[in-house]
Order: sequence, then C-alpha cells, then structure tokens
Amino acid sequence: MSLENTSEPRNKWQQQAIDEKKADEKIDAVGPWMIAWRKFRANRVAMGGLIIFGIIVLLVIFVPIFMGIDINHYDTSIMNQPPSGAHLLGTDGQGRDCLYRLMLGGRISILVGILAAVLTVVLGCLVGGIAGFYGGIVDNLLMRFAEIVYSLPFTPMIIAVAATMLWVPTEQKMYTVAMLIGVLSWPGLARLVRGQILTLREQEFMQACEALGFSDSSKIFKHLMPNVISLVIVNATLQMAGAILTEAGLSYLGMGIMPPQPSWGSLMNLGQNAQAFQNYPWQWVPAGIMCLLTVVSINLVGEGLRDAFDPKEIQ
Amino acid sequence: MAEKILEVNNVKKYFPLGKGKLKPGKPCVKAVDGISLDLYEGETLGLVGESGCGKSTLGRTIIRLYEPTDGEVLFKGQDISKLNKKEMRKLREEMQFIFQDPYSSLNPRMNVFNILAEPLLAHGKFQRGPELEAYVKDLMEKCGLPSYYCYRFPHQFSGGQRQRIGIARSLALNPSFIICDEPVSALDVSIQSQIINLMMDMQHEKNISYIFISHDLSVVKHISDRVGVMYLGSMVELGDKDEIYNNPQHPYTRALMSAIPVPDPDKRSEMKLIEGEIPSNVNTPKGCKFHPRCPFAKDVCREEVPEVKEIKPRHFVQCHFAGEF
Repeated sequence: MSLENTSEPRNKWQQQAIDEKKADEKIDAVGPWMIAWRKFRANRVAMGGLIIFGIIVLLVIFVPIFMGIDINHYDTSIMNQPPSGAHLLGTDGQGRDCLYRLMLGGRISILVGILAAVLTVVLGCLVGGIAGFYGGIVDNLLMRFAEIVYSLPFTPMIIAVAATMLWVPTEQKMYTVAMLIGVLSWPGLARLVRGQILTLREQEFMQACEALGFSDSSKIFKHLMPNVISLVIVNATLQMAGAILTEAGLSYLGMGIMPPQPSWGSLMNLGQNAQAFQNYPWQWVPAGIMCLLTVVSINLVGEGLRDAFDPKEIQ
Repeated sequence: MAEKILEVNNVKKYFPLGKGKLKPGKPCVKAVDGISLDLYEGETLGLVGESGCGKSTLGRTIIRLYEPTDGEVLFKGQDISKLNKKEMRKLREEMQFIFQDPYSSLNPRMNVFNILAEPLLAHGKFQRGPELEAYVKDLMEKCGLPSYYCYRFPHQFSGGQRQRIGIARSLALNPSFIICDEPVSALDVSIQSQIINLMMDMQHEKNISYIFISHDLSVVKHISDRVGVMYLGSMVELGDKDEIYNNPQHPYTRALMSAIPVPDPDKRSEMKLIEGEIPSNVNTPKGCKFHPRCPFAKDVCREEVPEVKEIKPRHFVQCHFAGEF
C-alpha cells in the first residue's frame, strides 16, 4: 500500500508523510549559478559596486546621445569657462563641453577595458585550457611560452610598443591599446586555467566522461569549462579594472588614446599643464574621479564574485 | 552454461616512478602484475583484497581507463586494447563503470537530467525531446529516485542518492557489463544494503555482468557468484563464492576470511591474523609474493613463483602447497 494509492489519509502519520512529500516536491532546483547570484545579492558592498558601475555605464552611453553635439565641434569664444548652466562641467581650452568629452572618454576607456579583458580571457583560456587538457609536451611548450610573455616587463614594454605604433590613426588607437594590454596580460589567466583543469582532470566525473565515451569537445565544453568559468569571470572582471587603469596611465603619458579622441587618461593629461592644473580643475578632476569610481566599483564587483563563487561555501 | 562475456589474459599495469615514460629497468609500481580472469553473462565476480593490492587499477585497466602495459582484454571476443579511439567509444555503450566516491563522480554544474541524458545524446540513442525526458524519468524511478528530482543539482542530494544517480548514469546506455569500484564503501550500512539490492535487481532485470570490487567481504559474499582474492597485484585465489568462503586454500585467503567480523564473541579467538605490512609493489618479493608474511613459507616459496593450480573445477589457487592445508 503505497502512499499514492491511498486517496484519503487514514491517520495523522500518513497525513504527515504526504505533507512531507509535497514539501519535498516543492524544493526548487538550485543550481550553482543560482547560489552564486544569491550570495552576490546578499553582499551589499558588491551590489553597491555593481550599481555604481551600472550607473556609470548608462551615463556614458546615454549622456552623449542626449546632448547630441558633434565630436569635432568647438567654439573658441567660450574657452576655459568654469561650470555653468549651459556647460555643467565648464569648457576646455578649445571651447569644447567638458561633460560631453568626459562621457565620450568614458565610453572609450570602458570599451578598452572590456576589449582587453575579452582578449585576455580568450587567449588565457585557449592556451591554459589546451595545455591543461592535453598535458605532456604541448603543456610544456605552451607554458614556457607563457612564461616568456609573463617575464616581459609590462609597463616599459607597453610604452615602448605604443610609442612605435604612432602611425595608427587616432580613431583606431583604442583598439591597438586594448590589443596590447590583452596580449601582454593573458599568461596569468592561462596559468590559473591550466591549474584548475589539471585538478579537474583527476576528478572522478572526468573519468566517468571517458568511461561513458564522450568526445573531447564535449569533455572540454560541457564538463571542464563550466567548472572553470567562475574563475575566469572573476579574473576577467579584475582584469578589466586593471586594463582601464593601464589605458589611463598610457594616455596620461601621451602614448595611448590621442586627442582629439578623449579618454579619461588623456583628459587627466590636461592637468600636466601648469595653468590648467591651477586654474581649470574642472577640465581634469572629473576624469580622475570617474576613473577612480569605475575601477573601485569594478574591483568591488570582482571581489564579490570571487566570494560568491567560492566553492568552499557552496550550499 | 552462460556465455563468456569477458576474458582477461595476463594483464599487467605498471606505473613509472618519477618523471618520464616506462622503460625496462626503470623503477615502477607493479599495480597489476599479470592477472587472468573471465566473466560470464549475468554473473557477478567479486574482487577482494586489502587496500593497495591493485583492485581498482585492474578494474580501470579492464575498461581501458588506463592503458594496459601488457596482456589482452577480450570483450565478447574482441581485444579492446587494440581498438582505436573511435571504436573504443562505440564499445563504451556496452561496458560501464560505477565509481567509489559519489561526491566527485558527478559534475557539480549539471543537473540530474543532463547527467543522465548526456550519454544517451552522445551515443545518438535519443534526440532531445519528450521521449528522452520520459526515458530519463523512468530510469530515475527505477533507480529509486523520484522523477521530480530531475532538475536538481548534485549538491542537493545525500551520498546515497548521489550513488543512485551514478548507478542510473551507468545503466542509461543498457550496458551488458559494469565494473563497480567500491560502490558502497563511501555509504553507511543501511544505505549500502539499499544500493546493493538495487544493483542486484538491475542485474536480474537486464542480465548484466558485474565485476564488483570491494574490501568488504560480507558485501562481496552477498552479491557475488564467484570471488577473486587479490594480493599485491596478483590473483592468489579465484573460485565460486562458497568455495572461497568455506574452503579457502591460499593462506592469505584463509587469513582474510578469519578476519570477517563475527557477531559471536566466543568464536573470535579463532582469528588468525597475518603479521607485517603489505610489501611495496615497487620491489616485489622474489618467489611467492606472500612469503614474507606467510606462516607456512618454505624455501621453495622464497625462490620460485608458484603456478596457478586448479584444485577443483573452477577453483584456482596460486600457491605451492595448494590443497595440502
């Protein structure tokens, strides 16, 4: 006499058993992503970071559209004006609206960050994944190559290469900067991914994949990658913040994004001019603040993600 | 007589010590050192032995999770160690493996449905759709898992339930042969019996052959038709269950059998414990591998490797003095 067959419970024990089964059926399937999201949402600092970053991205996208000014528009009759109703953040030395240029610069800075992070992730996962999965001589060669790239001094290298690439048109400068940062910073991620895959490979579920006769691509994409992806996401987030800072540093030195293209770094570069530094702080201080806010909020999100994905605290 | 499904001839698996490949003269771990056995349709062969004797390695070598160093494994008359990757993949439908640790044998990022459906999709048995769903849910019910569990993730289950998922996964492709590598040793006793009964039910229903690896002699006695006793990479005794348990011939088997816990305290004095540790399987003892610990060792045991003798039909013993005790 199973519970399903008894249409009416005879006593309170049966009733209780039925209630328990119903309660059991109602338990949701909670996947690892759901757990991570719940943990992330409960982390106020990280959520704060996400909200700040979200606001910055929205501003950067929509404010220039809203203002509807031509990028090359300048007006020498309103040079170096302090903030006012017409120009919320004043104007610069060529009479261009500082708020507009700040937002345009933000677009470029964040885009460089994203592109560099994407490139790092693609290269790092590819090299680390292949090295970890196939092992042996492939692993050896790829990891030695990664170490060579890793041992190049980052800042001098990037300045030297950026300086030789002056022939690139200014509109495409951002892509070369992003590419340079990405190409130089993948080895760290490659090592992480390789290490993770080496540990995963010895897990019994990977041997089960072999025993069940799955193809290599299924093993990599369905079994290894989903278990590495959390690590990659965290790393990519922090990488993005780093790339934004590197771009700002390069542009500040005049090696990165070139005027008339604005970026937060090249806007801060205006502060190198003694007169602007003393008399026109609205021209370069907001860029510094925006850059700081962006990098801090991305880092907070990254730390939050790291905590949320921490496998030790799963459940 | 049932048909022979698997034949293992003198299989060896050596692992090189340190870096590099296996070379003659290089020190290596002789995990499986020349084992032969056969398995018939629908029967269960229990493999017992203390930890480190190579039971799991043998199991993994048989289904070629490890490449055998030497010897041949004939599955339905086909030497599987000579198959290429593609042919091997095809054959994996027929032979499956149940893992010891239910916690690491399931991918934490896949839900039960995907875990069970993946082998079916990978081998082209089903397309995505209602039929697949019905099959998976039916399989879950058969293995004692309510089908409404199917979108939950492994971390939401207990150890016993996870092992049921592992068993369901190995049964999904309807294999004719399953190697069970200590499937119940990570579970507590009440769950052990449930899992063992589930496995036996499935065997009767689908006529599956099992190689059941365990260090738990009572469990092996319950489930097996025949039992093989392993010591240091060799099969020291192989025979029908009743022969092994009631009439053990090899001194090692006898010691092993006397170590089965007896509920009656008055009978415990009969225990004959063997002294010493299991020797290293890097420098295996000369002659009979068991001689350093054998209470009956003679000079011949220290010099010559004993032959495998069939002292009764289907009862094999590897000992110089088999049948004389």
